[in-house]
Amino acid sequence: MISVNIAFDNDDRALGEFFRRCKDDLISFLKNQEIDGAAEYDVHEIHSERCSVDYMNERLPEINGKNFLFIAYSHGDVDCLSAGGASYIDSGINPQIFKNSFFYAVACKAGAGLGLTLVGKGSHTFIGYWDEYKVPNLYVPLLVNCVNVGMKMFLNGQTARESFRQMRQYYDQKIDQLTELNAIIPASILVGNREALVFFGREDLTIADFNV
Amino acid sequence: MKSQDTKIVVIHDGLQEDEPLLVELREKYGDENVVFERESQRGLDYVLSNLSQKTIVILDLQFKGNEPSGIDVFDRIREKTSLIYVIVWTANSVPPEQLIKFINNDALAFISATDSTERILEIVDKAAHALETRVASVIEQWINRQPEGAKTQPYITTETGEQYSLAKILEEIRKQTNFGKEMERNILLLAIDLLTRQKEKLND
Repeated sequence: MISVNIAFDNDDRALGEFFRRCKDDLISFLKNQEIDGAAEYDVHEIHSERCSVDYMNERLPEINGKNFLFIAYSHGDVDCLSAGGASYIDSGINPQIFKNSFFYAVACKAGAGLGLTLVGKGSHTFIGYWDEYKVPNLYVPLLVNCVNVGMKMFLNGQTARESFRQMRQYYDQKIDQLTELNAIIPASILVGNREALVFFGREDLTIADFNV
Repeated sequence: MKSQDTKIVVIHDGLQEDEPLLVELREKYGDENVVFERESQRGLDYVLSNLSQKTIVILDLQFKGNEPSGIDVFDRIREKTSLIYVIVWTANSVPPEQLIKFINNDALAFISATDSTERILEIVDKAAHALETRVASVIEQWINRQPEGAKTQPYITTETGEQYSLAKILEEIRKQTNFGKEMERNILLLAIDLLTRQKEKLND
């Protein structure tokens, strides 16, 4: 059984719908894998109202004795992830409760500070974005695919590092396709998003290490 | 080298059609690419109606009658774009307050009636080359080629929730805001990315 925890700020006025779509896309992938018998997941959805320091401090100690996955789709800054204007994961407050996690944050700038802090406090791996990322409105489904493809690769058995590499490669493919369509601005946004990707921590982990 | 795409707009009420400068410009850039207007309002209208094309304006400062002055024309152009190069033609010395305004708002150069045609052509050539290679100009022209309807629809949402249409992106680039500069940077990154991965799809 693999513990999968997904925080998503679905109530956010600007990007809530995008965050929810990212979460739904990943949940759909997990369900299909379970139907195929590829894996069993204990999925825990953490919606906007539960994206708080109090909830994290209550929930994480229940699971962080063993390896687990933590995926976040929300706003972020250098040292925190936030929802509703308040941080729910913060370098100065609760990074230690994410020990034993494979952590993927689709949030601005968290890769510039929080990521290294989490790894320093016991997270195995952190993948995120060190800069702001942008959403090209006409291509939200494409961006959802870009955002989740690395996680799906990891769930399919690739190592953490290889999943990261393939995620960047997928961005390349989509950049080329957008360029073919003369969609230069969206293509340039994907380039910016791809260049913001960062990877910290263990490279050799696979999903098998989280089947506990 | 003849530049096919750059328009040279000369707005000056003291020049004649057979002025050596105009003859040389037409020879170098082609008749169709040199626009000569003696009335500053007509010259301004032409420039504002053709914002998407690469344009160099040679602008006189003084106009007779009720025509807008050179500084007014300059201001009106700068309200719309910072990407058009303006070469200011001065018969006399420029008042200090006007000079400061021109320099602060990116006037490219100052020429005077005493400058040789060769000297003026040299300045125009440099401006034309700079226009060809200016990233913002290329982006602006690409955006202006998109369908009108598409220009006003929300096109990008930032993580902070701000939405930008193509028209707004263009405005940000013109104003050289942080967002506008970031868009320029991303376009450059895209070009480098495509080049380094042997792609040649930027031309449409």
